[in-house]
Amino acid sequence: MISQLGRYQVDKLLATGGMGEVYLGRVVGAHGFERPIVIKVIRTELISDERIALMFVDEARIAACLHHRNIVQIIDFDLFDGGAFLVCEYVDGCDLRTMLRHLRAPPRLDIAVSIVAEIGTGLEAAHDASGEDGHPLNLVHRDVSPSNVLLGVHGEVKVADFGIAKARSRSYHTVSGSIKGKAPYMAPEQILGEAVDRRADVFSLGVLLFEISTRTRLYSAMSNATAMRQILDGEVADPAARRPGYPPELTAIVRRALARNPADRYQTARELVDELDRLAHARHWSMSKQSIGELVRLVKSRGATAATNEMPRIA
Amino acid sequence: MTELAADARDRVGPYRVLRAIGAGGSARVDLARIDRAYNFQRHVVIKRPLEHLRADEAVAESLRREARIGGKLRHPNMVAVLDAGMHDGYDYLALEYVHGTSLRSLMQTETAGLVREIPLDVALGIVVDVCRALHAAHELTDEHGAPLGLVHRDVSPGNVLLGLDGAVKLADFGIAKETRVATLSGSMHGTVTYMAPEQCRGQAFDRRADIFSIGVILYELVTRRRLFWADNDVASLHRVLSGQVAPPRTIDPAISPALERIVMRATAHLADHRFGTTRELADAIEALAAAEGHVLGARWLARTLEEEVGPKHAPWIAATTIVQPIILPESSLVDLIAATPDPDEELVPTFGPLDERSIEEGSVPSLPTGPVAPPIRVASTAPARARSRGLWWVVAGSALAGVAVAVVASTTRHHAAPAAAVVPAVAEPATGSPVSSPPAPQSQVAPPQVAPPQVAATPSPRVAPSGKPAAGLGGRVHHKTGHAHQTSALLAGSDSAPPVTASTPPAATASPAAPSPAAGSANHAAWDPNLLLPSDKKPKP
Repeated sequence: MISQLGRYQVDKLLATGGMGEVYLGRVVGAHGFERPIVIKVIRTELISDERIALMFVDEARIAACLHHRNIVQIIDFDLFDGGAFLVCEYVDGCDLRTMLRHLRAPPRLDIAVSIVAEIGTGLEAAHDASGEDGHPLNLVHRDVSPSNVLLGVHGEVKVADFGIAKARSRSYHTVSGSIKGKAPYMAPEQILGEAVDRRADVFSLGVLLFEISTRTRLYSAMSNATAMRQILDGEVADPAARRPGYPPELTAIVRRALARNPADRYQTARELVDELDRLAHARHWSMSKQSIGELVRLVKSRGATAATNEMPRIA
Repeated sequence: MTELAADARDRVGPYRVLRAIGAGGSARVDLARIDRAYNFQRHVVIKRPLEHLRADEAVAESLRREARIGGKLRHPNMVAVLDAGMHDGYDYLALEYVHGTSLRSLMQTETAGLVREIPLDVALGIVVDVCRALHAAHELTDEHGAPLGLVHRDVSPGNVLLGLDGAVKLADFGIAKETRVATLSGSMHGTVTYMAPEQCRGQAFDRRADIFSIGVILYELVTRRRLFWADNDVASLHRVLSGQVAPPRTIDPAISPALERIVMRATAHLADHRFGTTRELADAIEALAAAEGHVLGARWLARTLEEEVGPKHAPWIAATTIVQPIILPESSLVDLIAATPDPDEELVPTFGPLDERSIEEGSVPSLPTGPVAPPIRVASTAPARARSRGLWWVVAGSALAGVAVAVVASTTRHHAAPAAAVVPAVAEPATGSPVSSPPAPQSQVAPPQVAPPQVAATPSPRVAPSGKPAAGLGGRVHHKTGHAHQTSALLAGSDSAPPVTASTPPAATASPAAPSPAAGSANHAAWDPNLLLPSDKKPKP
């Protein structure tokens, strides 16, 4: 195992994938200064296609420009003998996938809605990002799924891996010839391989909203083929059937976010977030970050391993 | 201040300095960037000693302390210390860059003494966020778990940074003090119009001094009036020491009585009358928000800043400001403190006639800013309209922005006798630590989300009355009751929707394997992979 990368101390292997590994590490500065960080290593020798490696670099560069509290921040990027690595902020907490697995009942509705609104705010910021010369970057995450959402003990909600999803999705094809695991969160147009825009992320956000607020899976977790068929058929289960007392307004929001045709969805993440905020206002939900943090601590107390910034398995 | 001109060829460690942001009495901050292969760039803010103070051990120690605290203190509402290093023999810090403005800029109006109207949702959200950050700092312990008794000492609008993403970040722990470390420096740091009376007097103080400061900010946001503003710092100090705080509803009757109570308690002259912790204050505000229908959150702040400050994609830095440190004349301060009676001994209304009129008539006469040095603008390229919009500079990681008052510190430097007169008490190791707090407040501080016992006494759907575990969602055998309280508060049930499991009769004798009716999602995989899946369908490891 690597023990040092550039000036970063490497402490613990968190995950391995087809492109490299994810480590927990530390910045060690002068006078005993230390700060935990997460290091994502990309081993270029594992990627036969150099263009993909370059794409990773390019996307990482863009992601570094996304200064937003709802996006996992990239602190540094550097090369080493054998590849490149990204240094990301460490979030003390768990990912959304871990949280959903460890909850024993659906979260309180205001907390569920608050988490989704925060994710949406991060997506909105990325979708709206423009380059230095002011031209829009047209970023699309393409992989908005529970394992890419980090939740912190102070109530932070952060979307991870912005920008590298595109490169990674190509490497999926390269390495395994198929897309694994993420199908239940993909928009129909994405499954069909059509051009995608931000509305594909809105669809994925809709799936998350359904799943967090009901604590049940929307599309098949067992079979990608089934999930894809369900999505392409425009099948949307009734959330009220999964959670008694589900607010009808929220059902309407879920349905609109999950519209089969992108033109029928919320056109931006912001529209969806605004709708959730209106609902919160009407219902006197305080949307306190504190409650999200408490829920994360509850999950952690159940022994959930904090697989923060876990890189999804590749093939 | 010519030394502040940033040199683009200037390098600090791996960072390249881009431009000056500001400076305080001892340190300067610059926007800097790290450049890597493939044009990877990342902006940070570099804080380092002013050129002529690079050999000054006290300045270096202050930076090191900020680094040490910053390494331990990681909170989303705190400006993060990303790195600490040495360059050319001096210490520097790399701080998180906050793209936005400061609360000071947001509050500023054309009229001195007045505060711009900020929507109450947004204002309360900002104060709650600062309180959460402060609480984390106040609770910080050393590696052995002993409380550090950390006090920020300079909680002021200039030290509250507001990102365009809606993030609220408290800056500058450079002068934060570990009160358990008793020093006889007798120095007074901070922004005088936000300083607690005991802090002004040079007496022992603890975290409740920070509560006073955030209380003043809350007061000002709510009433849209500066609380202790006067045309000079000596006069302001006088007002702080007088202990006169006009109840907010005398200024604006629209303010709710509950909010007024919170404000008055936070700004109580006597520390014992204030909230015990910033967490209590934050919880009180959140409870009020829930009761009165305010939705708190960074999104409202982001939307407000978008309207007030401009679009998200505005240039990174339109202007920078430098606020010069001011040094109060020592003698006048000493005299003033000596001459100002403690209001708890003798209540003397010390408001000047101007002040009284301002409260009655709802207007504060606009006065020249007097000896407070006006901001010096360094970026001559700043568009004029940026100034008129009020808020467009990036303030990053510094109290620099705040007016640092180093009053008695200067006295000490002169080995002066007055210092002794001004410094009657020095924090005993225990004084500032939470240990000295009475136990009762501590228990009040217990997490509010934990359901009170009577809730637990009501038939919980998760625990059968017999104490035998009932089938919960997915038919899993349930856990200790200890968690059930918390769960019931955070999970389904506290909102309009009844708990999902409620449809399972509490006394249900369903065996753990039998799915409860409410878990009718049998065909839908519930989140726990072990739930609801027939064993033959369970993924093979």
